[in-house]
Amino acid sequence: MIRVIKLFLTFLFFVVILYVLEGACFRLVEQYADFRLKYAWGEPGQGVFHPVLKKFGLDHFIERPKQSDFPEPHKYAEAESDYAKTVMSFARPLRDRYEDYVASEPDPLSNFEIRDFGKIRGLVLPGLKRPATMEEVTLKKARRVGDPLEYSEAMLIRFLSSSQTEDYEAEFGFQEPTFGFLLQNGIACMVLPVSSARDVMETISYLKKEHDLLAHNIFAWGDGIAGTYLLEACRQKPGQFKAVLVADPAEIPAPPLFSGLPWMNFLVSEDLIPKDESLSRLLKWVRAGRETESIYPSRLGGVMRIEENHAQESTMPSFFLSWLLQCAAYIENAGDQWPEAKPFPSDETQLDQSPREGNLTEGPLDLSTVEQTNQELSIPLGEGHSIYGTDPTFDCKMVRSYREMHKDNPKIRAISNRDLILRLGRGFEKRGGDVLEQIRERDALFHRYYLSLKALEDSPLY
Amino acid sequence: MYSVNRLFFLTLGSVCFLVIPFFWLALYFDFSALENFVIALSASEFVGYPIPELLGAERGTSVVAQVQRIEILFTILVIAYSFFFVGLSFMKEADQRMRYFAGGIATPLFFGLLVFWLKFIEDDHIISKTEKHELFEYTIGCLVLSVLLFTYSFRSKKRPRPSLQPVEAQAEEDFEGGAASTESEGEASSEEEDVLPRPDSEDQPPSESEDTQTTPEAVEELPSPESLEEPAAIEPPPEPEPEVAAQSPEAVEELPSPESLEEPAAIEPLPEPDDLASPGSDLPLAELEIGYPSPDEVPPPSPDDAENLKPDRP
Repeated sequence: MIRVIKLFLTFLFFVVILYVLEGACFRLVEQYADFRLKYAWGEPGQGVFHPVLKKFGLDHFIERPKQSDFPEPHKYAEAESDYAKTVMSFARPLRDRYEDYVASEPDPLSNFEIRDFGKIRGLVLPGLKRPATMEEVTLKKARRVGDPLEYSEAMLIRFLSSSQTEDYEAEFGFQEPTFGFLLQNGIACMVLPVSSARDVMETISYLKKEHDLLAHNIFAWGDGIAGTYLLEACRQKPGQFKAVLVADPAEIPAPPLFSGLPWMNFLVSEDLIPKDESLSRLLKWVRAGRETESIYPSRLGGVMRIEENHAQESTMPSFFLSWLLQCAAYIENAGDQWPEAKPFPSDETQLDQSPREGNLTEGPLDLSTVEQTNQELSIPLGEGHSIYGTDPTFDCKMVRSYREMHKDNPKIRAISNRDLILRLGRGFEKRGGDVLEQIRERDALFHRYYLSLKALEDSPLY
Repeated sequence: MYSVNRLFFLTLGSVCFLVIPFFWLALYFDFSALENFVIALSASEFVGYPIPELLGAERGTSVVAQVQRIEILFTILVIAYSFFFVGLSFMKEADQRMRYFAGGIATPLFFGLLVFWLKFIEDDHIISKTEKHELFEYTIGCLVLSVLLFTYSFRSKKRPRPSLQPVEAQAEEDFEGGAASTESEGEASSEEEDVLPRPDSEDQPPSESEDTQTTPEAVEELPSPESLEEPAAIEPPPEPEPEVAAQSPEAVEELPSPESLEEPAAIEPLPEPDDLASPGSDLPLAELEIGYPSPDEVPPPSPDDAENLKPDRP
């Protein structure tokens, strides 16, 4: 017996030592951390969870927090913060390197050109060049095929709410180490004073129009009021951005009802956590950023982090930077799969809401009752949002009859068949009994669609 | 009687016990140097972690709470080691005591290192190059030290192999009627020494040591261990003097040591200088190489010299 215990303890000891060694490598060696991430999630854009590694409970496989598990927004925000720390744990070696760079590099922009582009002032270029193609010659971006064209992997715009020259120069000086580090990764950088959300949109439109090779992928970063401008601009034109980083926003507008949002990253100081309603909106932004099917954006597309003391007048937080570089890497590997911004029909919050008990009636299925139940699940569309056509797939008898009943309702028209099936199916399920079974007898295709979509939603890819 | 080893641990444990009241008294009476040290300790960092955080304090707690935590944990640590040292001093065997001591140092060191690394791996804690260097140094140092101490504390005690050879040899000697010489007894006793604990070490049986402590008179009555076991103390067999050997060669045959029998030079009687000088002696003087002059070289004695001559022997 003693021998068995000794053997077991020895085995346990070696397991612990192995765990510590592996963890130390993951914590300190950047190449190994990247390797493990790719091994767990696959290559960006085509990844699937590793079936074996998933059983080990590594950081990469942490479950995203669900709002239904946290009735209080503060608890939910804390859960989101923990999730962000855990899921981004692979970036710690990179963050170490960045902090070292910031502390040790005396003149980070010495090797990079700083140029003015019309009204855009002080754009630092990474110095990347590639030969022009025939298409670019046709578009008059170059004279001849093969002429060198200046480009960047992405462009980081640091938005500043003040238009004072001193503030601009001070901010530029603060951000020099961050810019230097990002420039090494092919990302052009600039500080841009703005006075409104419209100002933000105009500047970005100008950049995209006139300097597409440099501003093809826009990363936007703003604190305080500038963060609010940025969120508002993103709400109105989400397709203009690839990543949005906001620290301690002064106000938080409601997120757009679009899917395919840019990657969203929020940093909130512990003593500046927004109040209930604002916090709920912020959390909706986070969830909306993750609303996609690809693994990388569905895990990293929306994160929020609570920090003890976030100094606004300093370099970019290392958490932001590592996340930004991950986004850049994703664009590089799977840029063609970047989802287009389209109406975001379903709100998980509202889907999770249980219908009022009083509306549920026992007995045979009545579509009018279903309609009454589902009216409460419908999403109020904000003003000014364009309504796209319905999804041609998942067509079935139930969906058609439901649309027929609500042909005058623009909200229902905005919802895709897919989401309508999910919502109706959930409504039937919540009614309990054999309602779903009755539906199956009436429309087997709808039943099959619902089960498939439900299984898809429950899968880790969703 | 206590050994120095035991006394050391007992004293160390006692001193550690005494440190606690002095420590708290010093803090109570605002001994500024100590207070400053504790406050500086609470503000210092290890691999980027504040020391109180490593000791379990939450971030953002007040300096007073952090200092108090350090004081309490220091007290607990010192008390624990006091008990440990005092306990060690009561252990019977010195070797075992040292092993436990090594284990008592290595175990907390190793597990402390392990817990620190587990925390470091799990935490979202960014470190600079200097802190990485510090982490490396401390890890290697602690790891090497703990491994060495563990190796010492877990090493197996060397046990003598049971061998039949000495028994066989003894039986042969007995069979040959080797007269049970004192030398063979001495060899046997020296072999026993290797097997049995040395009396000058601390590995004496407990009953003996207790007796030694309680009744020193009894110890005086007992033959001293040194006289029993030190080979030098064993009365050696009388070496045959050349004269005796020359007079009685039978005595040479009765010599107990077989080695002495095999060395003829040791028993062959040396010639007396008088014999060598006598003209009737047929021993070759040159072979003796003792520097006697040949008869030709010696001048004839003068009558004056003859007067001064005295007989060598009465």
